[in-house]
Amino acid sequence: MLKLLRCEFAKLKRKPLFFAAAAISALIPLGCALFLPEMQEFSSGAEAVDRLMSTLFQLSAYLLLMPAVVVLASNLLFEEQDNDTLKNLMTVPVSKPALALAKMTLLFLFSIAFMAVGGLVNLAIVLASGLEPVGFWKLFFVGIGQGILMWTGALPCVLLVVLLNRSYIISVIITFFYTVINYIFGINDYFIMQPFGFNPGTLLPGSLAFRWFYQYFDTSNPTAQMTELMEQISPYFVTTSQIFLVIVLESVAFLTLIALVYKHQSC
Amino acid sequence: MSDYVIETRGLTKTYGEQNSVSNLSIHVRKGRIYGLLGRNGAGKTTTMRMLLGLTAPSSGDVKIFGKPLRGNEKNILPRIGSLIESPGFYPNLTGTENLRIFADLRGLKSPKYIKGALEVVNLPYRDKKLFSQYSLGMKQRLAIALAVMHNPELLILDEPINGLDPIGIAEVRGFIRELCDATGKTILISSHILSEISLLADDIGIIDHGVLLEEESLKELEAKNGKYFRFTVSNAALAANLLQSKLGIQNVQVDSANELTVRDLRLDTGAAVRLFVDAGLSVSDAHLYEDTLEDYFKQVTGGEGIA
Repeated sequence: MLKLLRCEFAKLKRKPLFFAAAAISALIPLGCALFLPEMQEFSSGAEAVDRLMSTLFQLSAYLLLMPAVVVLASNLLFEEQDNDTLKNLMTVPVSKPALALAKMTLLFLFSIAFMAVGGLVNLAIVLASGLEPVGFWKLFFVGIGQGILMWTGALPCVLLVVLLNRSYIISVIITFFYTVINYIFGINDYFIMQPFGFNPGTLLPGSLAFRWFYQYFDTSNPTAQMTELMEQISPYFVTTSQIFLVIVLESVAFLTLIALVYKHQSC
Repeated sequence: MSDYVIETRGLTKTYGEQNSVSNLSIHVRKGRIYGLLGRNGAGKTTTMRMLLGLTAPSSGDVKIFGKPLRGNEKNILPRIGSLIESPGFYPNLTGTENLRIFADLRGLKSPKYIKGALEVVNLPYRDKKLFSQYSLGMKQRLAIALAVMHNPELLILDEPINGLDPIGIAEVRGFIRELCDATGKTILISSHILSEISLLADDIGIIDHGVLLEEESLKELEAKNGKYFRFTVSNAALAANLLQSKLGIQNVQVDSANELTVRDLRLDTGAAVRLFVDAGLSVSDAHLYEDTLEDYFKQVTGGEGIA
């Protein structure tokens, strides 16, 4: 598996799509810091960290990371078919499920790196503003967790892409709708205020992520709006163990399905 | 243990209602070059794909190195080098980078494997040129390099000279021959080009419409190859009678009043001509004719398609 993963990294050489996707992780934090006035005036380091990281969690992760994972997945999963290299791999022999899992592992690492880079750009912005990054590292690791959650959340979409077998246009359309739906669900009270269990509020990455990361923001000096929101949604917050339980269960289920479907596609 | 490195029994591949390969039983002997000859679409590639486990047979068995392929892929496939259909590599990588990926997967750590394989096909090591910029001939050379890089015992090469220039063809032919002669490798090679197969192969299988029509050594095929004598004499019937009664020659056919054909190759033409002259016959022509392999293959496959 490690060999396969190393080879997947080697195949990325001179692939502009992958590096463009990685580069956009810095775009939203930088764009916000440069162009939004409310992102330039902070009363404290803690506020700066909270606002910037909130942007990373709610915009970069939902709107950029998840679609990027699906688009990259379709690129990675079909590169063997496109370049007719699957026959060379099969005669090594390499198992197709292992190959699919290596590609998914690469995307897992990409998701972590995406959020880590975004977080570090935020740290640089806070430091450049001359503020102390209070509470940054806690939110940095929450960001890594959210990267993993977004990767897991993208897996159903990746499964659809594999099932549809190399139709890039349909993949992009599916990704667009899935991203929009998740974003809407992530801010919709109906989905946020559901108990932990077998329901859309727990199973969909958008609402689940919100119910997890929101509790880590600084609430020491809350506004009236913030207090009201916290009172409303705090009973529905999920713990880190709960969220990782969902991640493990969903990823095992969808990775198994992806590997099975990929295995049965002809080479 | 069987002498055959590859042995198939009743191998069949059906797509829909059409048999791509039908009840194919081939036998590839150790240390020999086996040429699978057939026109385009005859079923050569499908057969090779089934031998490599890339296509599942509809029925029949494949044994490689004396063991069934199914269930033993992990032990058998690393001992095989293959080139199937067109060369497939990652276009964004150089030739060396492409080979490094497969060397890594095969556990070949030393760069000498990549260097050696590229040297064999006359491609530069660590060249900057990307695979997407390669000519068809270079791509084919790289595919051959990949097939031989891990020093396999068995090579399965599907039309390996496709896209090569005449010098490249001669180089690859020489290299394949040397691999077999010097290192005792067993090689299964397919082609629709008869001259290539006849120059390289020790054993030949002729496949047409998915059916194996002939499987013999090249020597046996050449021996079968329609050698015959033709005589033009003043009395063909008398001449035929003389050959049979005086020289014990069989397989004599009177074609016309003055022409006869003798397919018994024991015939000494000098003795025959002397016999005819002594019996008062005039001999105006005596010739040894030989059908080419091409004639033979056309006859076996029933038409065109083999270059």
